[in-house]
Amino acid sequence: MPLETFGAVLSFAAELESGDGDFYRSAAARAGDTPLGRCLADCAEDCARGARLALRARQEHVTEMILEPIQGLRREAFQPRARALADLAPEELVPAARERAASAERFYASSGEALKALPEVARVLRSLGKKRRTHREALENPMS
Amino acid sequence: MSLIILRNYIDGAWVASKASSLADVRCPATGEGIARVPLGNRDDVDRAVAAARAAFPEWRATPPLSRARYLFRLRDAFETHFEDIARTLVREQGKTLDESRGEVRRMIENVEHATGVTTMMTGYGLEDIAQGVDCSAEPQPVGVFAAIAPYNFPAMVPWWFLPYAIVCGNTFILKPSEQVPMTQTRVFEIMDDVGLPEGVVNLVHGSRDVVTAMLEHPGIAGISFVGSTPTARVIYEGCGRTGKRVQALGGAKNCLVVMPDADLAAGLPSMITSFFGCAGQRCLSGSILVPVGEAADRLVGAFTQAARRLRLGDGLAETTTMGPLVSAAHRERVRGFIAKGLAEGAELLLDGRDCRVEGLEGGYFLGPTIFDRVTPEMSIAREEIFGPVVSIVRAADLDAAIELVNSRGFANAACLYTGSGAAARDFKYRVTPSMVGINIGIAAPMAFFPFGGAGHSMFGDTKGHGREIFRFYTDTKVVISRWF
Repeated sequence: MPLETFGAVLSFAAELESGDGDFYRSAAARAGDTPLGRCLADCAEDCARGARLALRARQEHVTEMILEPIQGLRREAFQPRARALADLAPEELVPAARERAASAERFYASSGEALKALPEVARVLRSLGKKRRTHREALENPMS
Repeated sequence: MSLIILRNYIDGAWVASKASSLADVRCPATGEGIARVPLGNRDDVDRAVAAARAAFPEWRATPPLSRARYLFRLRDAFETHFEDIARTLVREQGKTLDESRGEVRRMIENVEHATGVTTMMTGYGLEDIAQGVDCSAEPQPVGVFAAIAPYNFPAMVPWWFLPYAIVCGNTFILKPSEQVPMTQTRVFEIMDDVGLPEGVVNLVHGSRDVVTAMLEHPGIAGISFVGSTPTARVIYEGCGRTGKRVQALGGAKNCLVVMPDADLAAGLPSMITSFFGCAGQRCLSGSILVPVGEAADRLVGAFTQAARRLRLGDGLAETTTMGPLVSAAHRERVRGFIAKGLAEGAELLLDGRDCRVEGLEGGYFLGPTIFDRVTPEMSIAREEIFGPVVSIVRAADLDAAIELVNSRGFANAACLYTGSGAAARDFKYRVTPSMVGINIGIAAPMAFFPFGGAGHSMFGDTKGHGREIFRFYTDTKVVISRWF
């Protein structure tokens, strides 16, 4: 499905953050009180904040004067493989979590570029992408 | 299922209208009825004016900063209910969610700007204008004001006026368009929670009878109107007869001039938005595309191709990039212009008449339509169409383009796409429309700048919002003092 409007891009960002936040929260519960569990819980908290930020950007930075069609973004390209947490073996948990962070990172890079005519929004998208990069990096070595 | 019948908001309460007839409010995307609106009458207006007049003395004596505090609360309430207002608007008007959210944002920006009353409403003074004599100019509120709003921006346009009127100490009556009365009904519900004193703001639903009653009512000090040029003229003349202040904003026939040195890759998306945003139903929409010289070679094909990519649908779906027209009757009117264009010999490059939106067969959709080789005399180059229909009029040079802009009668907005500062200066200096865009397709002044055109696009001398609006809503009393 194409993401051709300002609202569609930011709604998708909010959806991505909410969905990934839910995943990280459940994964954190499964990992328990371990370094990995705490790392995943931090990611979940960031995603909840990210969802709020995306919705706020959609509401506050919409500019009637500059609502130009957006091209080249499709949601399918940024949706991680939808596997339920319960279906994942323990050793698959971290790669799946990293994959979500990496997908989101790619989405924020592409959407930030697509919305560069709106610098405040592009900044929000960049900052969400940066947060997801830190998640991906933290999940490279969650025991440290 | 029976449809809800909307009520008026008068003297701080929701009351049934005295109307003897009702009209259906229809969802333009489906054609289904979604509410019924009373077509109010003189009794409704009398009742609202009485409430507004009764509220005026105490409200005008309320310190401006206290009045502004109601607006701060209102602003927060609108942010809380932002999405709700935006979706109500889409449902009854048809525009896309992005367009609707953008409109609600502009509505809120007017509230924000109006909170600056303690700076914007101040007067001035000078000591010793003669020996021992001092003089001050003190803006004072005037009384009861009214606004008559159009169907194309049901959230924003009333708020070009309402917050400024009340923050200056006046009281207010709004008549929303009977085609889209639900958005302001929702907005007034939210306002009701903010606790403004009773009678300060009032909402009266209706159509022609309410307008006539407002025009003739001696208790109304001034009227703001936005709509078509013929009606704007009637409002202007009516207010003149009864000695009211008036700002009557009418129609438009806006040109987008594209120079050969324009950056098309950067500018094309905003041109598409200008012509087809809100399905062309806005007074700042582009209507005539004017490629200058060889700009046509690059522009016409690319523009047509980009228009084909627009995705028609229900505005509530975020995949939609163009919504329907507001009503079946308006769609027929726009189709009539397409027929005229063909009959007058214009070349139809893209025909939106046969568009179909799957699952929404009852909706009032009309696809993007583009005519090339249009001449300045053709109906489609002279009359306001208010739909997604583009007339391409080719011009030999910038002088010819400016002449075209200045000969439309309407003088609302004009835009130029160019890489040349000299051309841009020449254009903005010489064109008669009052709102000018340079490499911008929608030259829409924000709340802190004035909104309004010239020529047949506006009657009256004080425009909407900006700094001027504080003058419209106040009378400057000059006090000359000498003390012995």
